[in-house]
Amino acid sequence: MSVAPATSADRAFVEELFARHHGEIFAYLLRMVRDSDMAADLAQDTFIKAYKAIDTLEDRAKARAWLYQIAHRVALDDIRHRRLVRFLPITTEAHGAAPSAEHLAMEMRLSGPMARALARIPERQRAALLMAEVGDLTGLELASALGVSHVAARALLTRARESLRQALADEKRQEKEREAAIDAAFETKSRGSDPRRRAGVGNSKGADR
Amino acid sequence: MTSDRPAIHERARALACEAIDEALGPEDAAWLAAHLKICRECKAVAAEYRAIHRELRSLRAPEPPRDLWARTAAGLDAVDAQRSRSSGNRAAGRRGFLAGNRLAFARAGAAGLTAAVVTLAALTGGFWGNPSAPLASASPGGSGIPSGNQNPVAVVGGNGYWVAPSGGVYQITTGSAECQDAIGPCAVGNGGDVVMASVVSSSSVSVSVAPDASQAAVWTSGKIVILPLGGETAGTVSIDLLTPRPTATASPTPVPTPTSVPTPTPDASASAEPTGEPTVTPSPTPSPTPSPTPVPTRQPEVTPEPVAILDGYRIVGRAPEFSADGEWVAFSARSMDQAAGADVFVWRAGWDLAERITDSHTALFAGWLGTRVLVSDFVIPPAVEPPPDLPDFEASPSPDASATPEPTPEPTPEPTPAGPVPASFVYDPVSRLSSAIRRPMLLPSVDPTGKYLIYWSGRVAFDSRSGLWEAEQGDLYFESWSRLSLQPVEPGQLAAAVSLDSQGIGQRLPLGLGPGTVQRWVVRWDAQGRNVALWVGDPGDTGSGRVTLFRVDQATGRLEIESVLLSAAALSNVAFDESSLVYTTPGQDGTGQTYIVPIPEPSPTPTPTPTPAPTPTASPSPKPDLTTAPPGRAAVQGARTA
Repeated sequence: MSVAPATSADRAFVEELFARHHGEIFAYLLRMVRDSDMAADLAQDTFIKAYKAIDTLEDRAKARAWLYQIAHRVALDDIRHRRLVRFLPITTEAHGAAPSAEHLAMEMRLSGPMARALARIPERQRAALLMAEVGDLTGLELASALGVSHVAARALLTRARESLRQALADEKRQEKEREAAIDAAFETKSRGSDPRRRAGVGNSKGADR
Repeated sequence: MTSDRPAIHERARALACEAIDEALGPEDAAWLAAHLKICRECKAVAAEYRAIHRELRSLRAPEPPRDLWARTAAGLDAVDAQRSRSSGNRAAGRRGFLAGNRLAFARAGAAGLTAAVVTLAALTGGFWGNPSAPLASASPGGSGIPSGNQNPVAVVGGNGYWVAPSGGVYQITTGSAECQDAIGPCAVGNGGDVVMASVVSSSSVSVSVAPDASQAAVWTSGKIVILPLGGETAGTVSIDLLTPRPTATASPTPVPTPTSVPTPTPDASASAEPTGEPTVTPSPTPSPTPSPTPVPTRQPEVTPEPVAILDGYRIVGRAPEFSADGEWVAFSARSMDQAAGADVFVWRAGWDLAERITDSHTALFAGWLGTRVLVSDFVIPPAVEPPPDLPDFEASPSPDASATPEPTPEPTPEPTPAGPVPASFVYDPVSRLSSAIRRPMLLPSVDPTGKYLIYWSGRVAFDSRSGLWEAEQGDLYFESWSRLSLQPVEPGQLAAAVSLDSQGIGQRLPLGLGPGTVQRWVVRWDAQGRNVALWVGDPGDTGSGRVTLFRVDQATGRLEIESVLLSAAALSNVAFDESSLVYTTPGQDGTGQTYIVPIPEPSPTPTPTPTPAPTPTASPSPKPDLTTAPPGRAAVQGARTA
C-alpha cells in the first residue's frame, strides 16, 4: 500500500474524526475483541490507518461509516490472528490473568448473559449488530461499513438478531440450570450437615417417637 | 402444519427485525401485525428482539483509555515523519517503523506505571527546583480551578510546607522531609513541625512561598498580603484587618494610566536574560528610548511585617508567583465589585502597594521570564496579512548550536478565528517596556533557561460567571523561544502586532482526551529545562487531571512526545526539584498520595551530541531509568488537606 501525501487539512480532518468518534470506535472494538488493552491498540490503529488511507475516502460526509469499516477490518484481522495463535486450550485456572466474563461484562457495560451471548455469535454478525444497535449506523452506513449491499446488510442483521436471541436464551437457560444446581448442592449439603437430621432429632415426629 | 409455515414464520421474524430499524411498508406492516395476532411464538420472538434492542441501545459507552489520544497523535506524527522522509517506495520500512512505534508506546506505558511506584531513596537539599512553589493551590493557567487550601504541601530546601486550618486559624507549617530508609515511604512534615505563620480570615486562605521560603504571598477572596515566614514576627495575623498603607509614597513607580498596555519601546532590558532570545522586530514608529534601568542584583528584601499589597481584589487565573530572585511578585486580579475585569499587577520588595501594569481588564499573568513578566491578553487582530519582512516562523541565530531546532515539518496553521485571540507580551517592570509576541498564544510558560516555551493556542470564550476570557477549544504547543519574534508595542498596539498566520505553528502536544480538549493546564519545567511536566485538567471543574512528563530533545529542540516518561492521575500541584518530579494523586478527603519520582537521565545516544550550554547545576548522580527500573514502593506521604 502506498502512502499518499497528506495535507495539514487531512491531518486536521482525521483529528476531528478522532474527537468525534473515538469513544464509539473504542466501544465497538471493545465489544468485538473483549479486551480493553487490545481495543485501545486497535482504535489507535484504526485512526492511523484512516489517516494513511485518507485519499480513499471519496465523500467525507460518509466518514463515520468509513471509519467503522476500517475498525471492522482491524477487529476481524485481530480476531483471526488470535484464533490462529490460540493453539492451546485455555482454561480459567490456567490463565488467571484473563478477565472473567463478569469483569468483561462490567467493562463492556453489558449484563453477563448478554456479554457471553454476544461472544458466541459469529464475528460478522456481532459486528453488524454492534454497529447498528450501539453505533446507531443506518442501513446504508452499515452496508458501507461491512462492504456489502444494503439488502445483504439487512439480512446479516436479521441473522445476527436471531443468533443473539438464541444464544441469549441458551445463556439464560444455562444460568438457571447453574443456579438450580447450586441450590440443589446447597440443599444437599445443609441437609447432610444438619446434626439434628443426622440424629433424627429436630423432627417433631421423630422426637415424639 | 403446511409446508410453507416455516417460510411464513421466517418472514415474520425478518420483518420484526426490520421493524426495529426502520418503518415497514404498509403492506408488510399489516401482514406482520396480522401474523403476530395469531402466532404466539413469533410474537414472543418479536418481543425478544425488541428487548435485545433496548438492552443494547441502553448501554453506556465504556471509557476509552486516557492516553488514547496521545498514542494516536504520536502515531499520526509518525506517519507524517515517514511521509516526509520517504518518497513512496519504502513500504517495508514503514511497516517496521509503525510496529516499533507501537512497542514504544507499550514501553512508555510501562514506564509510567513503574514511575508511579518508584521511591526516591533520600531527599536532599534543593528539593523544590521551581523558582516559586505554589503552596496551597496551583491554579492552572488561564482558568478553572478555584484557589483553595488543598494538598499537597510544597517543599523548599528539604522542608515541607502546608497550610493547616485549626479553629479558624490557618497555620503555615513546615517540617523536615525525610525518608525512613532506602525503600520506605518518604514523609513530609512528620513530627517536629514548626508553625511559620498563622493567619486568620473569614474566607479561605491560599499561599505561595518565595523561592527561599523567607516570605509568602497570601491571598483571600479579597486581599493579597505579603507575609514573612518564621522569625520573631511569626504571630497570628488577621488578614481581614490588614489594610494597605494609607499612602503609596514608598512605591518607587506610580500606577500607570489605566488606559493602556505598557509603553512600548525597543526592548532594552537585556541584563540577566535567558539565552535564545527571540527576534526583536524594531517598532515601525519607535518611541524615545528611555535609559534602561538595570535590574539590581541583590538579596531580596524580606518584608519585616505583613503588608497588604492589594485590597478589594481577588486573584484570578494563575496563582501569584515570585520571580526567581524572590524580589518580585506578579499576579492577575479582578476588583471585588466586578466593575472591571482582570488586570496584571506586580509588587516589589519594599513597595507598599502592588502596581497595576495593564488596563485592558482582560489581562492575565502568565509567568516570569527572568525578571520580566509574561502577560496574556485577548485582542481582535486586524484581518490583514503580516508584512513580508516580519516572518514569525524564522529561527534567529542561537548562541548554542545544539539548541538550534530544525524547522518544524508541515506546520498546520489553524483557521482564522472570528472572535478574540489570545495575545501575549513581555513586560519589564523596571523599564516598563513591553514587547508583543507576534504568535497568538495564551499563558506562555518559558523554561528557566529561556530556551523553550509551552503555550496554549486555540479558541477562547468569555465566561460570564468568572468574567474572564477562557480557553475553550485548543491545545498546548511546544516551541523554541528563539523561533518567536517580538515586536515593541505602543499602547493599544498589541492587536496589530499579532500575526494570525503563525497560529498553530509549533509542536502540538497530544494531551487531553482528544485534539482541542485542553482547557485547564499547568506547566512545570525542571531547573535545566530538560524535562517538563504538563498537568491537564479533567473535563469539568473537578480539580483532578493527569500529569504527563516529557523530555526535551536538546539536539532537535523538540519535545519527545513519542516516549512519555510518566503519565499519571494527579492534582494540579505538580512540581520539580532538580532531579525529581513531585505530584499527588487525587483522593477522597485528602487521602491522595504524594509521589516523588526520580527523573531518568537520558540514555546515551550512539552519535555524540553537543552538550547543552546552560547547565548551572549538574545532576548529582545518575538516576535510574524508569523504563527499566523495577517497581518499588510508593513514596507516600499523608497528603495534608486544609
